[in-house]
Amino acid sequence: MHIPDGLLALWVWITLLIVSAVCIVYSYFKLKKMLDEKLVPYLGLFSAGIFAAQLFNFPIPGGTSGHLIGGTLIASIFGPYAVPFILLIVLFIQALFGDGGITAIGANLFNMGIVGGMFSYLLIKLLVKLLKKLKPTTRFVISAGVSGYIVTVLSAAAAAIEIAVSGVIPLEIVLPAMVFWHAIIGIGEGIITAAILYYIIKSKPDLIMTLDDLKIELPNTEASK
Amino acid sequence: MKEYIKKHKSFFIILIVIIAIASVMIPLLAWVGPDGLERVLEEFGLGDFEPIFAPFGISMEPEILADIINGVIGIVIVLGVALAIFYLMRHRKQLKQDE
Repeated sequence: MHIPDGLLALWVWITLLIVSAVCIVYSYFKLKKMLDEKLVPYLGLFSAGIFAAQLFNFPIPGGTSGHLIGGTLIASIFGPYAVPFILLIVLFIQALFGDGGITAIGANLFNMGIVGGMFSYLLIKLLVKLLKKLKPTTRFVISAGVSGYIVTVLSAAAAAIEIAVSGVIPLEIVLPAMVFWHAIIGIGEGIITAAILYYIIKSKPDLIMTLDDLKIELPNTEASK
Repeated sequence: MKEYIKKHKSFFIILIVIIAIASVMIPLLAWVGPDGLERVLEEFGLGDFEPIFAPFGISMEPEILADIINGVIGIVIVLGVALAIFYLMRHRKQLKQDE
């Protein structure tokens, strides 16, 4: 879902660049507060991991493909403020390799980092509250998976709106097309997010920084500390 | 940080090995079909958008080799840039706390 150079109107990509920059500055102060020695290497490794994961396109019925966005996964582990940074680094390096436009970096960050990551965290929080009858691990994993699915569709809808307001394709045509394909691609995002989160919960639960904020008590967290 | 990495050496080695394997395997497994956005753009005859500035991509034959090299270089650059940025953020926080 990487928007290339030349697709969006000048005012659209500049507006989204400003919005994304504001989010980056806000996240900088928030992330700096929670950043400790333990987090630095993990954030680096996860950035590289997300870059690697985005290289792999899984096939989708109908002759198209999808790849992990990763915003929900990062948000569920490190919280919402790490997402814009990690995705900015990933998207910037990808743009230098010709995957996604350098001028569209604000739009891509908005779609994948802000809608696909920061907003995703709000959804996880809401779902965790709604599913309180389930066991903590199940509740967390399902919330992250469902959130990953929803924000993939929302990110696609955001991209469709950006394309439409740029005057490239009418909204009534581009929105259903984008939502249709990403409603299928999102299943992959949801499953991969849930699977990786489950693995981390089981193998390295102390890595998850969001447990207090989400009010989740994992059975093995205390033991691993 | 050094002590922490030492303490959790095995975890970091596993992660680095996973990323290294992924960087080689991913281009080999990569599906060549268009992603959702590319598919929609192609449907409307909007397939060709040349990047304005993309100095890093290596193109060579066979294409799969270029994908592997680009993948590995990309992963290493992202890892380096991310570690530098987050380390600097942490360092600035530490300096402020020490003041």
